[in-house]
Amino acid sequence: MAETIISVRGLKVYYYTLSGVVRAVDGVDLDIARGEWVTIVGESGSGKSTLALSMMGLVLPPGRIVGGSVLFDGVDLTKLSGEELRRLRGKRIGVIFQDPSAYLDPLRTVGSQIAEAVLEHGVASSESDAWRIAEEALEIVGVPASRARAYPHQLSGGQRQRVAIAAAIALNPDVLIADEPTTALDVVVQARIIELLKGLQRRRGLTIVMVTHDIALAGEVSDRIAVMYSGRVVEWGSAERVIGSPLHPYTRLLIDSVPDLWSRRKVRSIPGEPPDPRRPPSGCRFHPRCPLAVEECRSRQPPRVSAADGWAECFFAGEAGGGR
Amino acid sequence: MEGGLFSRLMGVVAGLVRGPGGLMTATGLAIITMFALVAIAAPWIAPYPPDVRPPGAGLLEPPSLRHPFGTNDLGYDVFSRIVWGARVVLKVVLLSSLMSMAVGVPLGLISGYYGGPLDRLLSMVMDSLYAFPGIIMAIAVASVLGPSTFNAAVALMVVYVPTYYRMTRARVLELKNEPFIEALQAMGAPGWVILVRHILPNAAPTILVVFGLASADAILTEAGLSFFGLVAVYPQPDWGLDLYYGKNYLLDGAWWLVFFPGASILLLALGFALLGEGLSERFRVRGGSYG
Amino acid sequence: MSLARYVAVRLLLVVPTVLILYTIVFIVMRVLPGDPVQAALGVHYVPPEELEELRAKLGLDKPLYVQYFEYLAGLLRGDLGESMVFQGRSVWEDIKDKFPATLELTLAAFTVSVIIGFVTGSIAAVKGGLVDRAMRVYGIIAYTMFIPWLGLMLIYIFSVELKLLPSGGRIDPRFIPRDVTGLYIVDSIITGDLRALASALEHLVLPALTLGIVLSGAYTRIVRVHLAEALRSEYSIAYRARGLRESKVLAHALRNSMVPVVTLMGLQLALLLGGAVLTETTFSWPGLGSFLVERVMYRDYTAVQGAVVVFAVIVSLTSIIVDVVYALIDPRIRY
Repeated sequence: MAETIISVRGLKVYYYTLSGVVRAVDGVDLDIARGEWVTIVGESGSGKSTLALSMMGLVLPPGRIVGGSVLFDGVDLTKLSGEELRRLRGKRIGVIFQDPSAYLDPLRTVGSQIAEAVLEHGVASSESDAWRIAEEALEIVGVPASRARAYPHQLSGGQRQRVAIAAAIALNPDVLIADEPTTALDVVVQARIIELLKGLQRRRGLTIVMVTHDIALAGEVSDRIAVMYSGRVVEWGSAERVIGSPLHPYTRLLIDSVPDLWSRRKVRSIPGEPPDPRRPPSGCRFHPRCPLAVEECRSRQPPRVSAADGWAECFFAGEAGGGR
Repeated sequence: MEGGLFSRLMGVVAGLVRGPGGLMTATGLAIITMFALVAIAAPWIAPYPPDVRPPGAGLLEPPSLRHPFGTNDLGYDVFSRIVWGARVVLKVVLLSSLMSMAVGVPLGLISGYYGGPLDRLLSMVMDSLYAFPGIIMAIAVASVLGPSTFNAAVALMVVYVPTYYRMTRARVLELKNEPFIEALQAMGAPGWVILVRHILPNAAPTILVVFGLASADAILTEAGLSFFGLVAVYPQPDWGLDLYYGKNYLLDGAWWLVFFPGASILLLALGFALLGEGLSERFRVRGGSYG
Repeated sequence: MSLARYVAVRLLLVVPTVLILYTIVFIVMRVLPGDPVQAALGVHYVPPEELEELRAKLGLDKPLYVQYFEYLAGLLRGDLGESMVFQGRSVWEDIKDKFPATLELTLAAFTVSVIIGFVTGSIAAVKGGLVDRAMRVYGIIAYTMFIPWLGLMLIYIFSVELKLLPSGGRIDPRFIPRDVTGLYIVDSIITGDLRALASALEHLVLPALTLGIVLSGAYTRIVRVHLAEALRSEYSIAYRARGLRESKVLAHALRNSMVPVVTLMGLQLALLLGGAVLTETTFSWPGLGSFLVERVMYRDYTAVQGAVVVFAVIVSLTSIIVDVVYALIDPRIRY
């Protein structure tokens, strides 16, 4: 396997809110290889965005990393100062968010927003140089360079997301974190944005960490998939294997809940509600909703059961594997 | 009956004091209540008559135990004048607030609900008046009518009707699109019934917030009018007027003639502002001219 | 639409506002009960012929609608009639003389208020917690302060006790600079007259501070709320994620919170001019406000009416500037 670029070990990120401690990420281990596309799948509130953003050391208040480490190219991000992190962000790790309209400053032209970051990292020698790099980045993502002088409100939703991508990749980073990059867009635009990201991954060797609730999309685009539930990665493996023969009952239920145009299979939604992250269930956190749950699931954290290319946290992972 | 009303009122107050903005509402109410009690009980609280030199009192005496706020150039007890002066400012401001409400709220209701050319004309007039400096308009009106508490209240009314009108109208426009109002209209309920029974009660919190904020502003405008001698005539006790006469002795070091009347104005205005702020937080209403 | 056309359209929209205010003022001054002529001449006995003569001279004997249009026509020509008390004095000339003083004071106070508002509001938004609460209290108290009281307290501290600054007036009369714009600060800089500049500045400090502090309360509040919101906003998160320094993130957030601040500036115009009347009276500042109050006390109704109408025109015209600034800051506004 290729060189590991991001290595997450025992990571815990908690939000200290007035109504209690939210354990958004509660003991996660992951290794992401250079150049691959990893997708973190989960329901809202599972901690998937928190996990992805913490891979660039970005934890929004009132959140804090309370344990574990994030190694980026061998450097532990949890031990870096704010200034050291700042120099990394935007230059070696880029990020795009769900709603591109909200994540662009409405008062400034899109070109100046990109060029500013280029200048800030000392890559360009002059303002015109930075502007040229910004225009190139826009061209790369399929936005005419002339649109650099446009304000965000003058662009369409899809164009805005392209601008956000241009800003994220302008400095040719190693990793792009994409937090639900297509959720706010309509289907046709979605497909184009995904295509664009795929092209960037192939041509530039960009490592992509995408977050989505859409397991079908994850299966189509990713090399590997991490399935998250209530702050933990419950299943990890290659996309074909996770979709084709899921080990964890939660993964299987997620796959079964995808509507399928071609088969007449009945769509099943997952029974029950996602757990309250302030008070996660004991033992296996999925047990209250799990069709396979037995007494042991209630009392004990299930072990990590290895498969050929990954693992799942379930007592039945060995037996359930492959069976559909 | 009286007791029932009182306990109901207390229940409403208790509800307002709890929850968001409760501390501000409670502080504001406490300050206003204190001044109201002082005004009502002025004859018993004031140690001396406000416009007679007490025996043995010197001129321009600094604060002492005998005269906690000192004495003025005529030897009158400043504390007693403040106590009596509370009556003037509260009378003018409450009267003007009630009159502004009585004019502004119905106009806002009708204008907002029925729309049309009347609404456009009224809006233009009220917006123009609202954008005009209140104290200048009040000076103009009061100077024509002459100094008296009632005339001052009328002058303030001209200034604050637009505030009540605008906020009421804006709230009506919001409520008009609510499904329950549309349902009532569909069922053929007459306009005035919808306005009085359904829209007015829902607009009441907004009006209450405006009452607090506009009254705070009105206290300052009233103080301005009285500073210019347009409310009371010396030696009537009146905070703004006392401040005006007191400033002549400031350069001689008699700070108490200015400090105490001004501090009273600040405290009373603060009481109403806190009430308005607290209520606006409680009901999530955005304030008026204050932003 | 070009900016020039936008300004032209806004100018046209000002006309009805000025007309409405003029009409209200006219109603207040001429229709409300009270005999201005009798009042102006005081309580002494005046023969009726003399009263009639004065009325005729001031045009007060004509029907109201004639007076209404005659005054309006005068306003357009820059003729606001003659003082009722100081015979032969043109109201317009007096107002023209007083205007620069008011402009100088309001500009200075406006600057002070915006600076204080931004500093306190930014500190509150960035620090949060107890500091935020303290600034919130400052905002409310500053707003509820009675201008003459604050002014006189500052006079007491800085003029009476510390003897640092003058207690009133606009400049030491010996040092009045050569008249170019009528603004003493500007004129003394243009003519390089340092003594005049020093004198004008030391006279301006306390009045500008007084009016500025009272007006700053609202800015503190609005900057506090909107800057905190901007700093938490998604685009600020995106800026940080791109590795921007926090100082730059703050700068962009500040610019975004300017949009509501400019809206507030429009609303504050009335408070600025109204406050100027009280400030000028407190500091014997020879501007329009002092003029208005002085003539109210003389019962000089033509002068009072003239001053109030001029204030109406100033409010309306200044609101255009606010709109233009607004359009310049926010690209989303189409003009």
